[in-house]
Amino acid sequence: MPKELEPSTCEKNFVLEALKENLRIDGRNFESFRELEISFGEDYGLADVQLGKTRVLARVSAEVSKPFSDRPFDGIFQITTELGPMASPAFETGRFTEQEVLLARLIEKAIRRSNAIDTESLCIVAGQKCWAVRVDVHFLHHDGGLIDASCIAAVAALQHYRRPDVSVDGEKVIIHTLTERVPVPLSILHIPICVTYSFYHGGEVSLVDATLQEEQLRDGDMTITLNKFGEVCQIAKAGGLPIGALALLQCARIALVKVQEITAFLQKRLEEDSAARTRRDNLLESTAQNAR
Amino acid sequence: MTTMLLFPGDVVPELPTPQKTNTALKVGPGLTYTPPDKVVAHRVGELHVDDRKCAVWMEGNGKRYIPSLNDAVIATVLRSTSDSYILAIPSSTSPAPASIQALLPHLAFPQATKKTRPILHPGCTVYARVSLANKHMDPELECYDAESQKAEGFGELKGGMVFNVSLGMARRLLGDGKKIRQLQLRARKAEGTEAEGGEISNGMEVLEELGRVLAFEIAVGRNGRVWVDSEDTKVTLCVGSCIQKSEYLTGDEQRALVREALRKL
Repeated sequence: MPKELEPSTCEKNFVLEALKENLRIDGRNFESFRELEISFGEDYGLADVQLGKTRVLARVSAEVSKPFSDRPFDGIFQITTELGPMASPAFETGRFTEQEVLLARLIEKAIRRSNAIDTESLCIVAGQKCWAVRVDVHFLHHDGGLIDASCIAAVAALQHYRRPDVSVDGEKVIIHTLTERVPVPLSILHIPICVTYSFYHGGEVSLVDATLQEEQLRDGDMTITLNKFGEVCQIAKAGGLPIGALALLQCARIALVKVQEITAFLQKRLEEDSAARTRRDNLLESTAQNAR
Repeated sequence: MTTMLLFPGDVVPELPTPQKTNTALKVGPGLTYTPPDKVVAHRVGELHVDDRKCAVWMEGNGKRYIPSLNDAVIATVLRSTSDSYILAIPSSTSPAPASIQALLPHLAFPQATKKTRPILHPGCTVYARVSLANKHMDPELECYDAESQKAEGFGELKGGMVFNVSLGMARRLLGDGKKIRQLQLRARKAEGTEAEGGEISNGMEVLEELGRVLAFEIAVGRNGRVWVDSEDTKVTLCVGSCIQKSEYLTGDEQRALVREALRKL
């Protein structure tokens, strides 16, 4: 099993020394994200997020299934995250590492348990039929910040996704194809975004969006999930350095600004994509007419 | 000379013919000779032909470093055994150490004896030369020059910072770009098209420009790692980031980049 190579002594000393002088290796501020790029696929529900060199792809799919017997009015919504050797040779398939479990739980808590998706709207016939929506998150390249990137990818894909329309006639359920009826978007209640902090030098230095190298050298980390209204969905801090209440408040305040920026950027990209789609659809229709 | 892009499996269309009777064709990295007269590419890249030396080779930008004889590399010490150090040779783009582990014997330092050998702790960075590279064996390293038996810059790298660049960039920084540039210039001369085509970058204008103003130490490993050290953290960072950014720039753009960075410093 290849273990990730620890940074060498000189890299370690240099990075920590530079942080003392308020410098980061890639020249960013302590409180800035790497360059974010979001693109959407040809189909609905495919989002490709690049955060610096980290690259995450999320795919949403839905099928009709039977709801759980204890929740007859709720649809099913699940998120799968799997770290494979595609992201980094240090990851192996089929073996759950602590990092993987933590990541899966964090994303689950951030999106599913914060009720980002209105699961009741996924119900078709109570107790009989519902939509089972799943998000598959694939990691294509690992350069730190997996949590932040996969959260953005998952919410972007969910917002982009359109499920086929259904009509219910008594016991009979008809699922209309995408060409037959305009597909409907999922009902999304709010958009949670994760911001991960890394702490150095006993908590004196806190960084937003650490790269892989910075992640390997940090003393502690903390993930705050917020939406753009400033509602905190979760704060996750699994061990590491203890952080004071004031520092935590300060972190949350900065995180809110970042979350608003990211949400706005995501919205912009979604609008661009839908505009491009309308243009393409109009074009397609006109060509069909001309052919006749 | 026109550069030609080849894919794995492509046959080299034209081979140079030896000018002297007793010289043979030299087949360089990236190419495989299939008897009787075929040379096939086994990785993607540009084909380079040197008519004078009667050599062909491929120049590409692979992701994983594969050690070959006499390459200078920057490696990290993992542990020490009774008679040698075990080192990892990380490629710039694949961080896992298990990819390549190399052996550096305790006595492979200039004038080292059992008592005077340098002590390297796990995590140390070492600049070394590949002394043995076979397909199915772990490579071996040495910390002295093959001819002079002296250190010549090899040995432990203390302080400073290691930056990642692509393998192609590392080769250019070590001067391979200059050789290719000479070849191209010679080819242009032969075709009589000297004035056309503009300037050819040798890929290391960035270093020449930085070296004119700043004082720093640098060591480039063919595994895509660049070690930089200077008095000031800011200078080290500036040098590192300029090198990383200059990968796809022309000579003039590289000079402009460095001037811009120096102004900010």
